[in-house]
Amino acid sequence: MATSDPLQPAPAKPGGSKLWRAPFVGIFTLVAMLLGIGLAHAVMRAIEEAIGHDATYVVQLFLGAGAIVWLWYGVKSRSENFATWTGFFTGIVIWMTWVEFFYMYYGRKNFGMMPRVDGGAVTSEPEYLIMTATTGVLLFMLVFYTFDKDTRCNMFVWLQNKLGLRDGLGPSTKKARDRNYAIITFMETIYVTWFCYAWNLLVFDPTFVGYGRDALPAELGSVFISITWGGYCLSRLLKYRRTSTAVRYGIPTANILWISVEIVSGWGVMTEIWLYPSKYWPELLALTAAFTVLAVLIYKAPKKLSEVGER
Amino acid sequence: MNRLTVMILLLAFSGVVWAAGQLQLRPGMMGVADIGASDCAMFNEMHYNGPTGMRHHVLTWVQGYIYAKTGSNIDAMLATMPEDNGWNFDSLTDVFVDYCRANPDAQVSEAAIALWTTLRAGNSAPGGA
Repeated sequence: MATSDPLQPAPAKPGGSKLWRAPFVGIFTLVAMLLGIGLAHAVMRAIEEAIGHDATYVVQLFLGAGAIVWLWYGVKSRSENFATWTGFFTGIVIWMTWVEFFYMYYGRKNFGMMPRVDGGAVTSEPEYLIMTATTGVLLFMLVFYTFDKDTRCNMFVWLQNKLGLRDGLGPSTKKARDRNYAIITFMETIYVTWFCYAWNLLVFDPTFVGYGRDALPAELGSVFISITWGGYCLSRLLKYRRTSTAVRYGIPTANILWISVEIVSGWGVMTEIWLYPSKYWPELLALTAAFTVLAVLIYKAPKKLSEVGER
Repeated sequence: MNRLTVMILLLAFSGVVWAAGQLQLRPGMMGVADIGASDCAMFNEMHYNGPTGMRHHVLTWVQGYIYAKTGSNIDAMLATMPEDNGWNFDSLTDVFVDYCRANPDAQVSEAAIALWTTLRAGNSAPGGA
């Protein structure tokens, strides 16, 4: 039984914890996801600084492969809770390794690209110049998710309704218990991260928005959309009581809000300490500890039977 | 020289100055418009973020410099050296990369000329034959 494992959360009991209910589930999840995004940046930088770029290009292959083995366990699991967290962590690891470090290898080393420079400072590294060029691929995948009748993402379902696709698509062929939450969360983590990166990179691309003050309207527009869209998602997240569902909804919510973090950092309003792990290691260690405790608490929080694979 | 000629010359000169001051890449392009005019601190930062591309960028600058000085090129200079001279893309570009690392306040053009100076002396690559 799933609950005999000390790592598995206890199923919820009637009149159970008053902590793990709305809006606390949503708040804890959002904080964990925001910390997760920042710390993922820090881990990438720490690997680069610790072993150098050339070794990173090799090591990332094995880190990514390890994540896929972990994902395999998640896909096999009947526990929605374990599968969701597995999909989230492995999605982040694959993004950092097989996506970002591959782009880095090709951009910085293999193709011989240079960084983009503005005002005597590097503003975009080669890997992000390549990533901007993947916007077309991102968009055609967006078309797939928009027209796929088994997509359960609220935004795509809303789009399908607005586009009058409901009758044409017909009912979903999958029930909740048919869905594999590990691969769903894995793809969600990667796709949402990719989408938000592309959004950010286009806003930082002087080809489209210009330099300095010329870019301000696009940046302000992005911050406005990020806060209103992310705030709307947050208002929904705060109503969640199932932690697994909240984690999956927290991923896009945090990433959309993170757009504003990136833009505001570009204005010099705050220092992105996660980009300088060797300088801010005490702060980042404290944040890592906070993230770990929060993630364990959410993972072990009382669950409905459906979340631990018992129903 | 009459006043018209002076005015034309002044206008032409100011145009040259304006054009030189406005030399920049199209928005969105990578790199810088004139790597030779950049300082080594800038080069070091760009090299960290794009080592292969920056080496290629400066090596091309050196090729132009050598052609302007001699009407020849690096290949022709290497052809006059023993076959096992040890020069290749990495060892050639290491010369200005090391120079800039040691002299962050210097101009990249000085680092590039350091490579020309080394080649002109007929030296093999450091660590080479």
